[in-house]
Amino acid sequence: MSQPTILLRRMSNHLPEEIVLEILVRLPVKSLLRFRCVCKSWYRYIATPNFINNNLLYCNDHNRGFFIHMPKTTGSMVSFSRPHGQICTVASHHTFEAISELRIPFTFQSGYPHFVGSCNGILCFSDYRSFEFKDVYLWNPSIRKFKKLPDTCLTHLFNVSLGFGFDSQNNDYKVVRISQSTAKPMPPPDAEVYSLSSDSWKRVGLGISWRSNVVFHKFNSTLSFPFVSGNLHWMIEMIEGGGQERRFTSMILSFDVNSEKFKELPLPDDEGGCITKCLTSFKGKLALIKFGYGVQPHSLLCSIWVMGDSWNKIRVLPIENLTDFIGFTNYGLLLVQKRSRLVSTNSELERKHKSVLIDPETLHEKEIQVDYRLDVAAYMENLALLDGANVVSY
Amino acid sequence: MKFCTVKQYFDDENNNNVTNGIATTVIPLPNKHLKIKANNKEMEQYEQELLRNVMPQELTKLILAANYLNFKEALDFFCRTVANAIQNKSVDYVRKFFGLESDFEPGEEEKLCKEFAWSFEGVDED
Repeated sequence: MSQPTILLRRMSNHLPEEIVLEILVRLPVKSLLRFRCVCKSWYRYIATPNFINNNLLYCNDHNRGFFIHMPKTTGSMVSFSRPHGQICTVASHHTFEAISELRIPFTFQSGYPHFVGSCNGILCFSDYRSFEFKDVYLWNPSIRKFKKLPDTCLTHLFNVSLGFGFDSQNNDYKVVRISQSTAKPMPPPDAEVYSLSSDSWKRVGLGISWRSNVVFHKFNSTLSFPFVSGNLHWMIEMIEGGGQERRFTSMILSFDVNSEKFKELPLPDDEGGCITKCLTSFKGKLALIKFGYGVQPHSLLCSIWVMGDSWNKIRVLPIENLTDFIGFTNYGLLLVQKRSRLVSTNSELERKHKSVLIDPETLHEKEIQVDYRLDVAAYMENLALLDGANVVSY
Repeated sequence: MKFCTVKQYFDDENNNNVTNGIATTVIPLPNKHLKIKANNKEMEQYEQELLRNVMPQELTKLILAANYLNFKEALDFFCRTVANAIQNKSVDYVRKFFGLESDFEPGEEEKLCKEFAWSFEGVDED
Protein backbone atom coordinates (compact mmCIF):
# COMPACT_ATOMS: atom_id res chain seq x y z
CA MET A 1 0.00 0.00 0.00
CA SER A 2 1.35 3.36 -0.99
CA GLN A 3 2.30 6.04 1.49
CA PRO A 4 -0.55 8.46 2.14
CA THR A 5 0.11 11.75 0.43
CA ILE A 6 -0.71 15.28 1.49
CA LEU A 7 -3.50 15.22 -1.06
CA LEU A 8 -5.77 13.57 1.44
CA ARG A 9 -4.85 15.55 4.51
CA ARG A 10 -8.23 17.22 4.64
CA MET A 11 -9.98 14.08 5.80
CA SER A 12 -12.66 13.27 8.28
CA ASN A 13 -12.17 13.61 11.99
CA HIS A 14 -13.09 10.02 12.33
CA LEU A 15 -10.80 7.94 10.24
CA PRO A 16 -7.13 8.51 9.55
CA GLU A 17 -6.00 9.02 5.96
CA GLU A 18 -4.41 5.62 5.48
CA ILE A 19 -7.61 3.91 6.51
CA VAL A 20 -9.75 5.91 4.11
CA LEU A 21 -7.36 4.91 1.32
CA GLU A 22 -7.62 1.27 2.37
CA ILE A 23 -11.36 1.57 1.94
CA LEU A 24 -11.19 3.39 -1.39
CA VAL A 25 -8.80 0.93 -2.94
CA ARG A 26 -11.31 -1.86 -2.35
CA LEU A 27 -14.09 -0.16 -4.27
CA PRO A 28 -15.18 -1.14 -7.78
CA VAL A 29 -14.40 1.21 -10.66
CA LYS A 30 -17.95 2.52 -11.09
CA SER A 31 -18.10 3.66 -7.46
CA LEU A 32 -14.66 5.25 -7.65
CA LEU A 33 -15.62 7.26 -10.71
CA ARG A 34 -18.69 8.60 -8.92
CA PHE A 35 -16.82 9.32 -5.70
CA ARG A 36 -14.37 11.52 -7.56
CA CYS A 37 -17.12 14.13 -7.05
CA VAL A 38 -16.92 13.91 -3.25
CA CYS A 39 -14.18 16.51 -2.90
CA LYS A 40 -11.13 17.88 -4.70
CA SER A 41 -8.58 15.67 -3.02
CA TRP A 42 -10.53 12.50 -3.78
CA TYR A 43 -10.88 13.71 -7.39
CA ARG A 44 -7.13 14.05 -7.75
CA TYR A 45 -6.14 11.02 -5.74
CA ILE A 46 -8.32 8.52 -7.54
CA ALA A 47 -6.61 9.48 -10.80
CA THR A 48 -3.03 9.05 -9.60
CA PRO A 49 -1.07 6.19 -11.21
CA ASN A 50 -0.24 4.90 -7.73
CA PHE A 51 -3.85 4.56 -6.69
CA ILE A 52 -4.87 3.09 -10.04
CA ASN A 53 -2.14 0.49 -9.69
CA ASN A 54 -3.09 -0.41 -6.11
CA ASN A 55 -6.74 -0.72 -7.06
CA LEU A 56 -5.74 -3.03 -9.90
CA LEU A 57 -3.52 -5.11 -7.62
CA TYR A 58 -6.35 -5.44 -5.10
CA CYS A 59 -8.70 -6.65 -7.84
CA ASN A 60 -6.14 -9.18 -9.00
CA ASP A 61 -5.46 -10.47 -5.51
CA HIS A 62 -9.14 -10.85 -4.82
CA ASN A 63 -10.01 -12.77 -7.92
CA ARG A 64 -12.08 -10.06 -9.51
CA GLY A 65 -11.00 -11.19 -12.94
CA PHE A 66 -13.05 -12.34 -15.89
CA PHE A 67 -12.71 -13.41 -19.47
CA ILE A 68 -13.81 -11.32 -22.37
CA HIS A 69 -14.62 -12.92 -25.68
CA MET A 70 -15.88 -11.74 -29.05
CA PRO A 71 -16.47 -13.22 -32.47
CA LYS A 72 -13.22 -13.60 -34.34
CA THR A 73 -13.19 -11.85 -37.68
CA THR A 74 -12.33 -14.53 -40.22
CA GLY A 75 -11.67 -14.58 -43.92
CA SER A 76 -14.94 -16.32 -44.60
CA MET A 77 -16.89 -13.83 -42.50
CA VAL A 78 -15.50 -11.07 -44.66
CA SER A 79 -15.87 -12.90 -47.99
CA PHE A 80 -19.50 -13.71 -47.31
CA SER A 81 -20.10 -10.20 -45.95
CA ARG A 82 -21.43 -11.55 -42.71
CA PRO A 83 -21.61 -8.67 -40.27
CA HIS A 84 -19.47 -8.68 -37.17
CA GLY A 85 -21.68 -8.24 -34.12
CA GLN A 86 -19.35 -5.65 -32.53
CA ILE A 87 -20.31 -7.15 -29.18
CA CYS A 88 -17.85 -8.40 -26.60
CA THR A 89 -19.06 -10.70 -23.86
CA VAL A 90 -17.66 -10.60 -20.35
CA ALA A 91 -17.72 -14.08 -18.85
CA SER A 92 -16.90 -15.78 -15.58
CA HIS A 93 -13.35 -16.91 -14.97
CA HIS A 94 -14.46 -20.34 -13.89
CA THR A 95 -17.61 -21.33 -15.68
CA PHE A 96 -17.50 -19.11 -18.81
CA GLU A 97 -21.05 -18.09 -18.06
CA ALA A 98 -21.88 -14.78 -19.72
CA ILE A 99 -22.08 -11.90 -17.25
CA SER A 100 -22.49 -8.82 -19.40
CA GLU A 101 -22.14 -7.54 -22.93
CA LEU A 102 -20.15 -4.58 -24.16
CA ARG A 103 -20.59 -2.95 -27.51
CA ILE A 104 -17.41 -1.79 -29.22
CA PRO A 105 -17.81 2.02 -29.12
CA PHE A 106 -15.80 2.81 -32.25
CA THR A 107 -16.14 1.59 -35.81
CA PHE A 108 -13.72 0.60 -38.49
CA GLN A 109 -13.88 1.49 -42.13
CA SER A 110 -14.26 -2.14 -43.08
CA GLY A 111 -16.68 -2.91 -40.26
CA TYR A 112 -14.43 -5.73 -39.11
CA PRO A 113 -12.44 -5.36 -35.91
CA HIS A 114 -9.22 -7.23 -35.35
CA PHE A 115 -8.52 -7.98 -31.70
CA VAL A 116 -4.87 -7.32 -30.90
CA GLY A 117 -4.76 -8.08 -27.19
CA SER A 118 -5.78 -7.27 -23.65
CA CYS A 119 -3.63 -6.00 -20.79
CA ASN A 120 -5.04 -5.38 -17.32
CA GLY A 121 -8.48 -4.93 -18.82
CA ILE A 122 -7.42 -2.45 -21.50
CA LEU A 123 -8.31 -3.79 -24.94
CA CYS A 124 -6.47 -3.10 -28.18
CA PHE A 125 -8.17 -3.31 -31.56
CA SER A 126 -7.29 -2.59 -35.17
CA ASP A 127 -9.04 -2.79 -38.51
CA TYR A 128 -9.01 -6.32 -39.94
CA ARG A 129 -9.24 -5.33 -43.56
CA SER A 130 -6.18 -3.24 -43.72
CA PHE A 131 -2.88 -5.10 -43.98
CA GLU A 132 -1.29 -2.00 -42.61
CA PHE A 133 -3.35 -2.05 -39.41
CA LYS A 134 -3.28 1.70 -39.60
CA ASP A 135 -6.12 2.47 -37.21
CA VAL A 136 -5.35 1.26 -33.71
CA TYR A 137 -7.60 1.82 -30.71
CA LEU A 138 -7.13 1.37 -26.99
CA TRP A 139 -10.37 0.84 -25.09
CA ASN A 140 -11.14 0.66 -21.39
CA PRO A 141 -14.72 -0.60 -21.09
CA SER A 142 -14.83 -0.26 -17.29
CA ILE A 143 -14.53 3.53 -17.47
CA ARG A 144 -16.19 3.85 -20.88
CA LYS A 145 -13.32 5.58 -22.59
CA PHE A 146 -11.29 4.86 -25.69
CA LYS A 147 -8.50 6.41 -27.60
CA LYS A 148 -7.38 6.26 -31.19
CA LEU A 149 -3.65 6.06 -31.55
CA PRO A 150 -1.80 8.61 -33.67
CA ASP A 151 -0.49 7.64 -37.11
CA THR A 152 2.59 5.55 -37.66
CA CYS A 153 6.03 7.09 -37.70
CA LEU A 154 7.33 4.58 -40.25
CA THR A 155 7.56 5.76 -43.84
CA HIS A 156 5.83 2.72 -45.31
CA LEU A 157 3.69 0.01 -43.86
CA PHE A 158 3.45 -3.38 -45.50
CA ASN A 159 2.39 -6.60 -43.80
CA VAL A 160 1.93 -5.58 -40.22
CA SER A 161 1.85 -7.47 -36.97
CA LEU A 162 0.76 -5.72 -33.80
CA GLY A 163 1.40 -6.50 -30.15
CA PHE A 164 0.02 -4.88 -26.99
CA GLY A 165 1.79 -4.99 -23.62
CA PHE A 166 2.22 -3.30 -20.26
CA ASP A 167 5.52 -1.83 -19.10
CA SER A 168 5.42 -2.57 -15.38
CA GLN A 169 8.56 -0.59 -14.61
CA ASN A 170 7.18 2.66 -15.97
CA ASN A 171 3.50 1.93 -15.47
CA ASP A 172 2.91 2.45 -19.18
CA TYR A 173 0.90 0.72 -21.89
CA LYS A 174 2.69 0.07 -25.16
CA VAL A 175 1.78 -1.08 -28.65
CA VAL A 176 4.35 -2.56 -31.01
CA ARG A 177 3.94 -2.51 -34.76
CA ILE A 178 6.20 -4.64 -36.97
CA SER A 179 6.10 -4.08 -40.68
CA GLN A 180 7.47 -6.58 -43.19
CA SER A 181 8.28 -5.36 -46.61
CA THR A 182 7.22 -7.50 -49.55
CA ALA A 183 10.26 -6.54 -51.61
CA LYS A 184 12.45 -9.34 -52.92
CA PRO A 185 14.87 -10.22 -51.43
CA MET A 186 12.98 -9.64 -48.18
CA PRO A 187 14.73 -7.19 -45.89
CA PRO A 188 14.41 -7.51 -42.12
CA PRO A 189 11.23 -6.05 -40.65
CA ASP A 190 10.82 -2.48 -39.38
CA ALA A 191 9.44 -1.85 -35.93
CA GLU A 192 7.95 1.00 -33.95
CA VAL A 193 6.63 1.35 -30.43
CA TYR A 194 3.80 3.49 -29.15
CA SER A 195 3.73 4.43 -25.48
CA LEU A 196 0.62 5.80 -23.80
CA SER A 197 2.60 8.11 -21.55
CA SER A 198 4.26 9.87 -24.50
CA ASP A 199 1.23 9.40 -26.76
CA SER A 200 3.55 8.91 -29.71
CA TRP A 201 5.25 6.29 -31.85
CA LYS A 202 8.97 5.92 -32.13
CA ARG A 203 11.03 3.68 -34.37
CA VAL A 204 12.87 0.82 -32.71
CA GLY A 205 15.79 -1.01 -34.24
CA LEU A 206 15.52 -4.76 -34.50
CA GLY A 207 18.92 -5.06 -32.84
CA ILE A 208 19.29 -8.74 -33.65
CA SER A 209 21.22 -10.14 -36.57
CA TRP A 210 18.69 -11.04 -39.17
CA ARG A 211 19.66 -14.17 -41.07
CA SER A 212 21.02 -13.05 -44.40
CA ASN A 213 19.80 -16.03 -46.39
CA VAL A 214 16.16 -15.59 -45.48
CA VAL A 215 14.24 -15.58 -48.71
CA PHE A 216 10.82 -15.26 -47.20
CA HIS A 217 9.37 -14.79 -43.76
CA LYS A 218 5.87 -14.58 -42.40
CA PHE A 219 4.56 -13.91 -38.95
CA ASN A 220 2.46 -16.82 -37.77
CA SER A 221 -0.60 -14.92 -36.74
CA THR A 222 -3.10 -17.54 -35.67
CA LEU A 223 -3.60 -15.98 -32.29
CA SER A 224 -2.98 -12.63 -30.71
CA PHE A 225 0.65 -12.58 -29.70
CA PRO A 226 1.32 -13.70 -26.14
CA PHE A 227 2.46 -11.15 -23.60
CA VAL A 228 4.32 -13.02 -20.88
CA SER A 229 6.63 -11.73 -18.15
CA GLY A 230 6.91 -8.30 -19.72
CA ASN A 231 7.68 -9.66 -23.18
CA LEU A 232 5.68 -9.85 -26.38
CA HIS A 233 6.36 -12.84 -28.62
CA TRP A 234 5.87 -13.48 -32.30
CA MET A 235 6.58 -16.66 -34.18
CA ILE A 236 8.10 -16.23 -37.59
CA GLU A 237 8.08 -18.90 -40.26
CA MET A 238 10.96 -18.55 -42.68
CA ILE A 239 12.33 -20.00 -45.83
CA GLU A 240 16.09 -19.94 -45.91
CA GLY A 241 18.25 -20.52 -48.92
CA GLY A 242 17.06 -21.03 -52.43
CA GLY A 243 16.60 -23.77 -54.96
CA GLN A 244 17.92 -27.12 -53.78
CA GLU A 245 18.97 -25.77 -50.39
CA ARG A 246 15.60 -24.43 -49.38
CA ARG A 247 14.86 -24.95 -45.70
CA PHE A 248 11.76 -24.19 -43.71
CA THR A 249 12.60 -22.87 -40.31
CA SER A 250 10.95 -20.90 -37.55
CA MET A 251 12.11 -18.55 -34.89
CA ILE A 252 10.59 -16.68 -32.00
CA LEU A 253 11.04 -12.95 -31.85
CA SER A 254 10.57 -11.55 -28.39
CA PHE A 255 10.25 -7.90 -27.39
CA ASP A 256 10.91 -6.68 -23.86
CA VAL A 257 8.33 -4.01 -23.29
CA ASN A 258 10.30 -2.41 -20.45
CA SER A 259 13.69 -2.08 -22.18
CA GLU A 260 12.18 -1.96 -25.70
CA LYS A 261 14.69 -4.50 -27.00
CA PHE A 262 14.19 -7.44 -29.34
CA LYS A 263 15.65 -10.88 -28.80
CA GLU A 264 15.58 -14.17 -30.65
CA LEU A 265 14.39 -17.24 -28.76
CA PRO A 266 14.91 -20.81 -29.90
CA LEU A 267 12.11 -23.26 -30.53
CA PRO A 268 12.17 -26.66 -28.86
CA ASP A 269 14.55 -29.21 -30.34
CA ASP A 270 11.92 -31.76 -31.17
CA GLU A 271 11.39 -31.00 -34.81
CA GLY A 272 9.01 -33.85 -35.48
CA GLY A 273 6.76 -32.93 -38.33
CA CYS A 274 3.69 -31.09 -37.32
CA ILE A 275 0.74 -29.60 -39.08
CA THR A 276 0.89 -26.31 -37.30
CA LYS A 277 2.24 -24.72 -34.20
CA CYS A 278 1.48 -21.55 -32.29
CA LEU A 279 2.75 -19.51 -29.40
CA THR A 280 0.55 -18.88 -26.45
CA SER A 281 0.79 -18.56 -22.69
CA PHE A 282 0.22 -21.23 -20.07
CA LYS A 283 -0.17 -20.20 -16.41
CA GLY A 284 1.96 -17.11 -16.87
CA LYS A 285 4.72 -18.77 -18.90
CA LEU A 286 5.45 -18.80 -22.61
CA ALA A 287 4.05 -21.90 -24.22
CA LEU A 288 4.16 -23.56 -27.59
CA ILE A 289 1.44 -25.81 -28.81
CA LYS A 290 2.05 -28.17 -31.72
CA PHE A 291 -0.52 -30.16 -33.60
CA GLY A 292 0.46 -33.36 -35.32
CA TYR A 293 -1.37 -36.24 -36.88
CA GLY A 294 -2.97 -38.58 -34.42
CA VAL A 295 -3.54 -42.27 -34.56
CA GLN A 296 -7.29 -42.13 -35.11
CA PRO A 297 -8.83 -40.40 -38.09
CA HIS A 298 -10.09 -36.90 -37.23
CA SER A 299 -7.84 -36.92 -34.20
CA LEU A 300 -4.84 -34.66 -33.71
CA LEU A 301 -2.02 -35.07 -31.25
CA CYS A 302 -1.54 -31.88 -29.33
CA SER A 303 1.86 -31.33 -27.68
CA ILE A 304 2.21 -28.66 -25.05
CA TRP A 305 5.62 -27.15 -24.42
CA VAL A 306 6.30 -24.63 -21.69
CA MET A 307 9.32 -22.36 -21.44
CA GLY A 308 11.14 -22.39 -18.11
CA ASP A 309 14.91 -22.09 -18.38
CA SER A 310 14.45 -24.03 -21.58
CA TRP A 311 11.58 -25.70 -23.38
CA ASN A 312 9.83 -28.50 -21.55
CA LYS A 313 7.25 -30.80 -23.09
CA ILE A 314 4.65 -31.09 -20.36
CA ARG A 315 1.84 -32.97 -22.03
CA VAL A 316 0.72 -34.71 -25.18
CA LEU A 317 -2.97 -35.35 -25.67
CA PRO A 318 -5.24 -36.44 -28.48
CA ILE A 319 -8.05 -34.11 -29.53
CA GLU A 320 -10.79 -35.16 -31.89
CA ASN A 321 -12.42 -33.00 -34.52
CA LEU A 322 -10.31 -30.01 -33.64
CA THR A 323 -10.88 -26.95 -35.79
CA ASP A 324 -9.31 -24.19 -33.78
CA PHE A 325 -7.06 -23.68 -30.78
CA ILE A 326 -7.95 -20.59 -28.80
CA GLY A 327 -5.81 -20.58 -25.69
CA PHE A 328 -5.34 -21.65 -22.10
CA THR A 329 -7.38 -20.37 -19.20
CA ASN A 330 -5.69 -19.07 -16.05
CA TYR A 331 -6.21 -22.48 -14.55
CA GLY A 332 -4.48 -24.29 -17.40
CA LEU A 333 -7.55 -25.56 -19.21
CA LEU A 334 -7.31 -25.78 -22.95
CA LEU A 335 -9.97 -23.87 -24.88
CA VAL A 336 -10.54 -25.24 -28.35
CA GLN A 337 -13.17 -25.36 -30.99
CA LYS A 338 -14.39 -28.52 -32.58
CA ARG A 339 -16.16 -29.39 -35.73
CA SER A 340 -19.86 -29.33 -35.26
CA ARG A 341 -22.92 -29.63 -37.36
CA LEU A 342 -23.62 -27.82 -40.59
CA VAL A 343 -26.51 -25.42 -40.22
CA SER A 344 -28.58 -23.90 -42.96
CA THR A 345 -29.23 -20.17 -42.48
CA ASN A 346 -30.88 -18.22 -45.25
CA SER A 347 -30.20 -21.05 -47.67
CA GLU A 348 -26.52 -20.84 -46.92
CA LEU A 349 -24.66 -23.62 -45.29
CA GLU A 350 -22.80 -22.37 -42.26
CA ARG A 351 -20.63 -24.47 -40.07
CA LYS A 352 -21.31 -23.93 -36.40
CA HIS A 353 -18.49 -24.45 -33.96
CA LYS A 354 -18.55 -26.16 -30.64
CA SER A 355 -16.38 -24.54 -27.98
CA VAL A 356 -14.86 -26.93 -25.50
CA LEU A 357 -12.74 -26.60 -22.38
CA ILE A 358 -10.37 -29.55 -21.97
CA ASP A 359 -8.39 -30.41 -18.89
CA PRO A 360 -4.98 -31.54 -20.21
CA GLU A 361 -4.44 -33.76 -17.14
CA THR A 362 -7.73 -35.59 -16.90
CA LEU A 363 -8.85 -35.08 -20.52
CA HIS A 364 -12.25 -34.13 -19.10
CA GLU A 365 -14.18 -31.99 -21.56
CA LYS A 366 -16.81 -29.35 -20.93
CA GLU A 367 -18.77 -27.62 -23.62
CA ILE A 368 -19.39 -23.89 -23.31
CA GLN A 369 -22.19 -22.00 -24.97
CA VAL A 370 -20.39 -20.31 -27.81
CA ASP A 371 -20.84 -21.50 -31.35
CA TYR A 372 -18.77 -19.10 -33.40
CA ARG A 373 -15.01 -18.72 -33.75
CA LEU A 374 -13.78 -16.47 -31.04
CA ASP A 375 -11.02 -14.36 -29.61
CA VAL A 376 -10.62 -14.63 -25.85
CA ALA A 377 -8.58 -12.74 -23.31
CA ALA A 378 -8.33 -12.14 -19.60
CA TYR A 379 -10.32 -9.12 -18.47
CA MET A 380 -10.65 -7.05 -15.31
CA GLU A 381 -11.70 -3.61 -14.18
CA ASN A 382 -9.12 -0.88 -14.35
CA LEU A 383 -9.05 2.91 -13.95
CA ALA A 384 -6.20 3.39 -16.45
CA LEU A 385 -6.72 5.82 -19.37
CA LEU A 386 -8.68 8.00 -16.94
CA ASP A 387 -7.23 11.42 -17.65
CA GLY A 388 -5.28 10.92 -20.83
CA ALA A 389 -4.96 13.14 -23.87
CA ASN A 390 -7.32 12.59 -26.81
CA VAL A 391 -9.41 10.15 -24.84
CA VAL A 392 -13.04 9.86 -25.88
CA SER A 393 -15.85 9.19 -23.43
CA TYR A 394 -19.07 7.55 -24.44
CA MET B 1 1.91 -11.11 18.83
CA LYS B 2 -1.70 -10.21 18.24
CA PHE B 3 -2.39 -10.13 21.93
CA CYS B 4 0.30 -7.68 23.05
CA THR B 5 -1.70 -4.60 22.21
CA VAL B 6 -4.79 -6.08 23.79
CA LYS B 7 -2.95 -6.42 27.08
CA GLN B 8 -1.70 -2.87 26.67
CA TYR B 9 -5.26 -1.75 26.16
CA PHE B 10 -6.44 -3.31 29.34
CA ASP B 11 -3.51 -1.78 31.18
CA ASP B 12 -4.12 1.67 29.77
CA GLU B 13 -7.01 3.16 31.68
CA ASN B 14 -7.18 6.37 29.68
CA ASN B 15 -7.89 4.59 26.50
CA ASN B 16 -10.68 6.18 24.49
CA ASN B 17 -10.14 4.26 21.33
CA VAL B 18 -11.87 1.08 22.20
CA THR B 19 -15.14 0.86 24.05
CA ASN B 20 -16.40 -2.23 25.76
CA GLY B 21 -18.87 -2.99 23.04
CA ILE B 22 -16.14 -2.95 20.44
CA ALA B 23 -13.93 -5.13 22.56
CA THR B 24 -16.50 -7.88 22.51
CA THR B 25 -16.60 -7.76 18.71
CA VAL B 26 -12.99 -7.34 17.77
CA ILE B 27 -11.14 -9.28 20.40
CA PRO B 28 -12.73 -12.70 19.87
CA LEU B 29 -11.74 -12.50 16.21
CA PRO B 30 -8.14 -13.74 16.48
CA ASN B 31 -9.27 -16.92 18.26
CA LYS B 32 -11.97 -17.61 15.78
CA HIS B 33 -9.54 -16.93 12.94
CA LEU B 34 -7.08 -19.49 14.19
CA LYS B 35 -9.81 -22.06 14.70
CA ILE B 36 -11.32 -21.83 11.27
CA LYS B 37 -8.35 -20.47 9.35
CA ALA B 38 -8.55 -23.04 6.59
CA ASN B 39 -12.20 -22.65 5.90
CA ASN B 40 -12.99 -19.36 4.20
CA LYS B 41 -16.69 -19.99 3.85
CA GLU B 42 -17.13 -20.53 7.58
CA MET B 43 -15.19 -17.37 8.35
CA GLU B 44 -17.38 -15.43 5.92
CA GLN B 45 -20.51 -16.69 7.63
CA TYR B 46 -19.12 -15.84 11.05
CA GLU B 47 -18.23 -12.37 9.83
CA GLN B 48 -21.70 -11.84 8.38
CA GLU B 49 -23.26 -12.90 11.68
CA LEU B 50 -21.03 -10.51 13.58
CA LEU B 51 -22.01 -7.57 11.45
CA ARG B 52 -25.67 -8.32 11.11
CA ASN B 53 -26.66 -5.74 13.69
CA VAL B 54 -23.89 -3.23 13.09
CA MET B 55 -24.73 -0.04 11.22
CA PRO B 56 -22.18 1.21 8.70
CA GLN B 57 -21.45 4.23 10.94
CA GLU B 58 -20.42 1.99 13.78
CA LEU B 59 -17.96 0.27 11.51
CA THR B 60 -15.84 3.38 11.81
CA LYS B 61 -15.34 2.64 15.49
CA LEU B 62 -14.58 -0.99 14.77
CA ILE B 63 -11.95 0.03 12.25
CA LEU B 64 -10.29 2.38 14.71
CA ALA B 65 -10.23 -0.40 17.28
CA ALA B 66 -8.73 -2.88 14.86
CA ASN B 67 -6.17 -0.30 13.76
CA TYR B 68 -5.19 0.48 17.33
CA LEU B 69 -4.83 -3.19 18.08
CA ASN B 70 -2.80 -3.55 14.88
CA PHE B 71 -4.97 -6.45 13.86
CA LYS B 72 -4.48 -6.73 10.10
CA GLU B 73 -7.09 -9.35 9.23
CA ALA B 74 -9.82 -7.52 11.10
CA LEU B 75 -8.78 -4.25 9.49
CA ASP B 76 -8.93 -5.81 6.03
CA PHE B 77 -12.31 -7.33 6.85
CA PHE B 78 -13.78 -4.09 8.18
CA CYS B 79 -12.44 -2.00 5.30
CA ARG B 80 -13.90 -4.50 2.88
CA THR B 81 -17.20 -4.31 4.71
CA VAL B 82 -17.27 -0.52 4.60
CA ALA B 83 -16.36 -0.62 0.91
CA ASN B 84 -19.24 -3.03 0.27
CA ALA B 85 -21.60 -0.91 2.34
CA ILE B 86 -20.82 2.37 0.56
CA GLN B 87 -20.11 1.17 -2.97
CA ASN B 88 -23.63 1.79 -4.21
CA LYS B 89 -24.31 4.92 -2.19
CA SER B 90 -24.61 8.50 -3.36
CA VAL B 91 -21.92 11.13 -3.17
CA ASP B 92 -23.81 12.92 -0.37
CA TYR B 93 -24.03 9.79 1.70
CA VAL B 94 -20.31 9.20 1.39
CA ARG B 95 -19.56 12.80 2.35
CA LYS B 96 -21.63 12.46 5.51
CA PHE B 97 -20.09 9.11 6.29
CA PHE B 98 -16.54 10.40 6.19
CA GLY B 99 -17.41 13.83 7.54
CA LEU B 100 -16.36 15.61 4.34
CA GLU B 101 -17.58 18.68 2.55
CA SER B 102 -17.50 19.54 -1.09
CA ASP B 103 -14.75 22.06 -1.84
CA PHE B 104 -15.47 22.39 -5.53
CA GLU B 105 -16.25 25.76 -7.14
CA PRO B 106 -19.92 26.22 -7.96
CA GLY B 107 -20.62 24.59 -11.30
CA GLU B 108 -17.35 22.67 -11.22
CA GLU B 109 -18.89 19.73 -9.42
CA GLU B 110 -21.73 19.57 -11.90
CA LYS B 111 -19.27 19.42 -14.78
CA LEU B 112 -17.37 16.59 -13.13
CA CYS B 113 -20.53 14.63 -12.44
CA LYS B 114 -21.47 14.94 -16.09
CA GLU B 115 -18.19 13.36 -17.16
CA PHE B 116 -19.20 10.04 -15.66
CA ALA B 117 -22.95 10.49 -15.59
CA TRP B 118 -23.45 6.76 -16.15
CA SER B 119 -21.72 5.96 -12.86
CA PHE B 120 -24.62 7.64 -11.05
CA GLU B 121 -27.12 5.17 -12.43
CA GLY B 122 -28.58 2.61 -10.08
CA VAL B 123 -27.36 4.33 -6.93
CA ASP B 124 -29.20 3.58 -3.67
CA GLU B 125 -31.66 6.13 -2.38
CA ASP B 126 -30.31 8.02 0.63
